[in-house]
Amino acid sequence: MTNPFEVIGLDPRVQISEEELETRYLALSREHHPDFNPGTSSAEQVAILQKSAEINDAYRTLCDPWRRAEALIRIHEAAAIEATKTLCPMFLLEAMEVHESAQEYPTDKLPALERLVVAKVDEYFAEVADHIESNEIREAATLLHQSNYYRKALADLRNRMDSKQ
Amino acid sequence: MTDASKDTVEDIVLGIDLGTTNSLAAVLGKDGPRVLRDRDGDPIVPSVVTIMADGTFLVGKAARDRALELPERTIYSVKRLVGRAGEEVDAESKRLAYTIRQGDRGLARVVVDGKEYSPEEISAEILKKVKTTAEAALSAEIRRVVITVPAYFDDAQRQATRDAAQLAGLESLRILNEPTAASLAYGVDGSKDGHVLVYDLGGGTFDVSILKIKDGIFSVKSTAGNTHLGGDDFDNLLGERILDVLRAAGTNLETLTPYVRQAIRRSAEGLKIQLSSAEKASLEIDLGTAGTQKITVARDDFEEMITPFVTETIDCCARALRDAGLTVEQMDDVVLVGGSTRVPLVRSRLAEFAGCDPHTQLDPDLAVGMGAAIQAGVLASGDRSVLLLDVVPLSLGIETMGGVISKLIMRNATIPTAVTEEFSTQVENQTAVDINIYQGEREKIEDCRMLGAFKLRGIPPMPAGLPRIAVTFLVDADGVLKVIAKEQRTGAESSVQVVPSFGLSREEVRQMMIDSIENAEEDMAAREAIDLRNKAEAIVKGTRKALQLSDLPPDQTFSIKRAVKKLDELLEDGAETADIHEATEELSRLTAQVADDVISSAVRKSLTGDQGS
Repeated sequence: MTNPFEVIGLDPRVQISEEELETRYLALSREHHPDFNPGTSSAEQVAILQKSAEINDAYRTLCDPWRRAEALIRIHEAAAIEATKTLCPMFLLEAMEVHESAQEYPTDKLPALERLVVAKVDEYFAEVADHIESNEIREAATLLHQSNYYRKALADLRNRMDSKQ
Repeated sequence: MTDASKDTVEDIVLGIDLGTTNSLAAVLGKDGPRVLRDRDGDPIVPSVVTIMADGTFLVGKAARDRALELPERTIYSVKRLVGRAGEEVDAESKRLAYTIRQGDRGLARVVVDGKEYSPEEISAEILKKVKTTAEAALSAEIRRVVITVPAYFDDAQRQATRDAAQLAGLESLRILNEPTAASLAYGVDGSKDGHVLVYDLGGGTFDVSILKIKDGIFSVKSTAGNTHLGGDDFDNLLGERILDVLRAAGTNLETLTPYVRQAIRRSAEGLKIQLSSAEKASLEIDLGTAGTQKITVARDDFEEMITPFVTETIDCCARALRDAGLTVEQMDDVVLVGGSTRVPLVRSRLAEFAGCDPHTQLDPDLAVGMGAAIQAGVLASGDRSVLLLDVVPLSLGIETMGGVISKLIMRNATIPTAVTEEFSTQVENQTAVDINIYQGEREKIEDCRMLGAFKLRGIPPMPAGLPRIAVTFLVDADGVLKVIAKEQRTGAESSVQVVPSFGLSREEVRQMMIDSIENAEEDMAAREAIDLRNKAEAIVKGTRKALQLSDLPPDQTFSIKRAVKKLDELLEDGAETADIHEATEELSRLTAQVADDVISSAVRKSLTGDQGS
């Protein structure tokens, strides 16, 4: 895996300056974009495209705090994400309940539920960030997997709210 | 001075707005983008091609002038067919006056005199016309171009546009999204940093793009749209209204000729244009003994008819904003592009949605072409002060087990973008693997558009599951997919070939190129003279036919007949181009109202049972 922090040229941290991220990204784009690097052979053109794609994809990853956290976990321990995939049954039961209530919740109370789930997701993120900072990578990875259920529930919830408008 | 001051082929990159209804070209000069005009000072090249009985093409105004006379031969709105296949072709077929059918691999083919033409070939003729018009205006040869397409064009439609350029003998440096081009025309002066929503409603397509402009960098955050929604749809609704009135008046619609149907199409467009500035628009149809039938459409009526379409465009705007993670309040400006944004309902609904009045300083017909010229200038000069970062409009995925799509590239990812996936074999010594690629947002293959099958060939023979083929899906800056494959176990990098199987094959493009070189074009002046003669002949013939059908007052008939005779004699004598041009203009002016009159005559004849014409 390419290291998006390296591609953009930022210190590998959970908290980054969005402004600095954007400034660096735009400067790199100006340098490497195919518009200014036409390339002479088709192999050269492919290499230019791949470099430009790498910059775009790294930026996209770093813009999203969750994907940024996942990238950091992989940088610290490449196998951590795969190794922590199996979650404990108690958590899965809880996650299932959240998922069901998101499906069945009365429409007029959805905004209230949304606030609850957002708070839960934020809480997860703070914990994941703490574990990464303290170099507790496996713990961070496990919580990242768990947060997936809440993030998915939040997305479903928002879809439901959109379709009700 | 020597020739050194003259523009050379390498210098100029032309920006082309290849539209559904109209096309035009522009170049970037010292004082900014400049639209190129023909000898009449008109920048518009109608996107219309007439295929004559001898197989030659009339393009632009000459073709548009023949649309009434030769409806089966006059190809309009071909952009709606580009890159289209299967059921989409059948759906389009119902609304066109010319014949199309599914050709090889279900791809759309235009049929004239039993001969098939690909939409790419027709588009290439339009591009050639734009090119020669630009060359005449610039007194320089053009080889390289930037062509705009709707942001919501998919991979196949973009590829087809590139093929059309190649067939026209042009090197396409960039396929540029229309709303992005318009944003360049809007914000290149550097005073408009911030977020903008570009709303682009053209003749046949609708796009909305959300952009952030900062320090000369135009980054698209999201895009949404519909490649089959535009002013054409408004015309069709008004055309239906005219037919309803005729039916109610007792006209047998079955007897209407394609000629009359074309005339109705034009009158419908005329009504639409009137309704942009007037509260009511009327069309008078003379029914002879049955009296006169006046068709009046109030703007309220018209707005009610088109509301579902306008609502869809507003829904697209909401979706684009959601995808961008922005709210309408965060937009610093709303920019209108495309001729159909002149419709008052479009403006009022958008103003209501945005909570502010849209920016209307840009010419909605020229902005896209001007933006294309700016990007063309950037590519020609390598000037890094302006940079476009665009996105892929639709997610890309591959078919997995059970007909489910595994998404590889998400919509609104900034391009270029790339993803690498690993593939293997299922049978011992298998040397080829098919990868089916789909574009769309749904999860099942039947709900998405298949872009085609890529075949990986030349995999080294090995036990099943052992080869490790890394396949990179790379979307380039044109939004076109490129697939690169590499077998990793043997390191046989070059041995795996990727064979695409959609659109025109490379072989087909090559053959068409050879054909077109064999029918090499004459020099510019000669070509223009031929175009003019063709146009003049068409008008002479068309007017004579129309005079037979219509009942104009004698004095008007006389002056038209006299103008026809004069032009006909000039043509017979092989007169100077300038004289023919002048006589043609004179006649066009006199016959401007004949189209409406033709409807009246045809209706009357159908009422009185007179079928002769």
